[in-house]
Amino acid sequence: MKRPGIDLLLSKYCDRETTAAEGQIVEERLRTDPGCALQMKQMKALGCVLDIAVEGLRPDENLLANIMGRATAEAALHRKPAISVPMPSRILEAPRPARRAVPVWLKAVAAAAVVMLVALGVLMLAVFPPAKPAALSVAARETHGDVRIIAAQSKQSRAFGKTDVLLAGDTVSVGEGKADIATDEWNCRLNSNTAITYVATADKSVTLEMSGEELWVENSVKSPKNTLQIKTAFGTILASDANFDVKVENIAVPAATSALRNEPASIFETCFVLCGKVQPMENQPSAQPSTKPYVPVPKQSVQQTSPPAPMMQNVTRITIAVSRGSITYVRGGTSYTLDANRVVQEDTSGRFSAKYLRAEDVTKLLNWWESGTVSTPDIEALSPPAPATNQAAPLDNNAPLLPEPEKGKAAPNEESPKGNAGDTQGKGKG
Amino acid sequence: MAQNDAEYIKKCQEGETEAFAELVRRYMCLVYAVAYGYVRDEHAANDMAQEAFLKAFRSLASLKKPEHFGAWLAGIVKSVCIDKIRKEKGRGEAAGKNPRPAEVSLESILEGYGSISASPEGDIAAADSRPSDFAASRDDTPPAALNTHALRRAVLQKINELPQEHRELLLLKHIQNVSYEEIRKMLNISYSSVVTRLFRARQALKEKLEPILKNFM
Repeated sequence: MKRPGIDLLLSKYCDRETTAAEGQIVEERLRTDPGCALQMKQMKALGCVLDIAVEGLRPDENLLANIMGRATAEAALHRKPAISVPMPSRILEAPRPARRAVPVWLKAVAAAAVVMLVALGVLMLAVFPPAKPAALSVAARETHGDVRIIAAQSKQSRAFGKTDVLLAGDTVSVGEGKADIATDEWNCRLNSNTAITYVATADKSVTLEMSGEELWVENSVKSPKNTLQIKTAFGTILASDANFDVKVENIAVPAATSALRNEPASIFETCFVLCGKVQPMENQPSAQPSTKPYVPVPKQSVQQTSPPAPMMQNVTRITIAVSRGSITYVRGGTSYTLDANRVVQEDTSGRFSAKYLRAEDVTKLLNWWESGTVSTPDIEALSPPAPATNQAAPLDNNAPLLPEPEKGKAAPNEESPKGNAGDTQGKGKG
Repeated sequence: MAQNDAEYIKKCQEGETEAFAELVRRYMCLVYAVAYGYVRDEHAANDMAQEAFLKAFRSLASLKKPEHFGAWLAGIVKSVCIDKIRKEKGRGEAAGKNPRPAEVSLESILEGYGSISASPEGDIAAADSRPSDFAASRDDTPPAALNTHALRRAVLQKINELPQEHRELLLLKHIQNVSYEEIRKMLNISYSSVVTRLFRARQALKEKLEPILKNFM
C-alpha cells in the first residue's frame, strides 16, 4: 500500500474506525515499517496534546438552564389557547351588529355595587385578619438568624492584600507520598461529620469573618504521573457559631481559589485544616447526620504548636494552609512540583526532597504560575534557603514563608533521600 | 439514539418544553464544538450554542425528518455562527479592530526543557501496541512539560489556524469522541470525506505542533 493510503488508515486506526482487515494491514505495517511506527507515535502524541487542549472546551454549566429559561419564556409567550373554538368563516364574514346602548341608570347601579363589594371586603379584613402562613414565618425566622448569610456576605466583601495569597505552608507528609490521599481521606471525614468556625484575618485584627465554613473535596483527578491530585475549595458555609469556639491566627486565605475559578484540574489547590477545636456535626440540629465515625486528624497533617492531641476536639489551634497551586513537570524520570513556597522533587522510586524558597522566590514562582511559563534554568537559579527561623511569617514578604528545616535534617514529614536542596539542582540536570 | 431523538422531537412539537431540555443535553457538546470551530472563542461559542438551540426550538415545528435532527441542528449552528462572524467582521472593519489574541510561542512553553528522546529500542514496540484511544494514550506517555495552561492555549491557537472544515472535524472528534458515521450524518458529508479531512487536519496540526509533540513521544 502506498504511503498516503496507509497514513489514512493509521488515522482511522487511531480512532478505532478500521475494519478487521484494515486493522490487520495496519498492524502488519507497524511491525515491519519503522516509518509507519513513527507516524503512529506522532499521531498518539498528537491525540494526547489535543485531548489536553480541548479538555476545558466544554459548554458553560449554565448553558442548559439559560436555554431552557428562554425557551420556556418564549413558549409561554407564544402559547396558543388550550381550547380553540372553530369559527365558521360565515360568522367572521358577517357584518357586526350595531352595539346596543346601555342605559345610564344601569351603569350607575353597577358602579355602586362594585363600590359596596370593595367596602365589604375591607371591613371583613379589618374584623377578621387572616392568619400568617406558618411556612412563611418559619422561613423568615431562619433567614433572619442564619449565620450562613452573614458569613457569605462577609466573605464576599473581604479585602485581600497582596500577601494574602502567600500562605502559612503545609506540613503534610509528602515524604511518604501519601499526602494527598491522607488529606482526601481526612477531608472527607471532616466534611461528613464536622463543621468548623474560624476567625481569620491577615493582619491579626481578629474579627469574625466566616462561620462554619466547610472544606470539601471537590474533585480528585489522576495526574499524568499517576499520583492522586486533590482539588479542594473553600465552599459552602454550614453551621451556626453556637457550637464552636476556634480562633485562627496568621492565616492568609486567597479570595478565590483556582478551583472556584474553574481552572484546570491539573493545577490543584489544597486546603489543610491542620488542627482545631471543633465539634462534631451531630450536635447541630440542622446538620445532616453523620454516617462515618469521627476520626482524629492524621498526625502528619498537623502543624503542632501544642502537644499532639488525640482528638480534634481537644486541639486548641487551627491552622489552614492553602497552596497557591503548583506546576508539575517531569524530566528524566524525576518529577518536580513547584509548590507555593518550595520545589518538591520526586524521583522514580517515589522519594521526595524539598527545597524551601525565599519569599522573593515565592513571588517569582507565583509570577511563573500566573504567566504560565517556567523553565529548568529558572528553577535552578532560585536562591538558596534563607537562615533558619522558627517563626512562620506568612504575611512578611521579606521572610521565608515556612520555618526552614534545620541544617542536615530533613524537613518535617519529608524524606530527603539525598540530603538537601542541592539535590534538586543536581537531579534537574538529569 | 435517532429513534429517541424522534420521540423527544415529537413531544417538543406537541408543546412539551421539557422534552427539549433532553435534546439540549444530548447535543450541547456537539453544538458547542461546531460553534467553537467557527468562532474560535469559548465565550462566543457558548453564546452561539445558546442562540442556535433557541433558533432550533423556535423552528422545531418545521422539522420534517426528526431522524436528521443532528444535521439540521448543525446547519442552524453554522448559520448562526456565520451571521455572527459577518456582523463582527463588519464591525471590526468599521472600527479597524484586529481581534486576534496574543500569540503564544511554542518555544516559550518548552524553553529550557529540551526534548526527551524516547528509548530507541522501545520505539517500534510502543507503536505496535494498539492504542485503546487517544485519551488513554495520555496516561501512558507523561509529557515532559506539564505547563498545561500554556500548552492548552498554544494548541488551541494552532487549531484555530486550521481551515474551518478541519477544525470542525477535529473538535467534534476530540471534544465528544463522535464516531465517523455520526460526524458524516451531522455534517452531511461522505464517509470518505470524514476520513480524509480528519487525516489532513491531523497532518496539518502535527506540522504546526512539531516542537511540542517531541516531548509527548
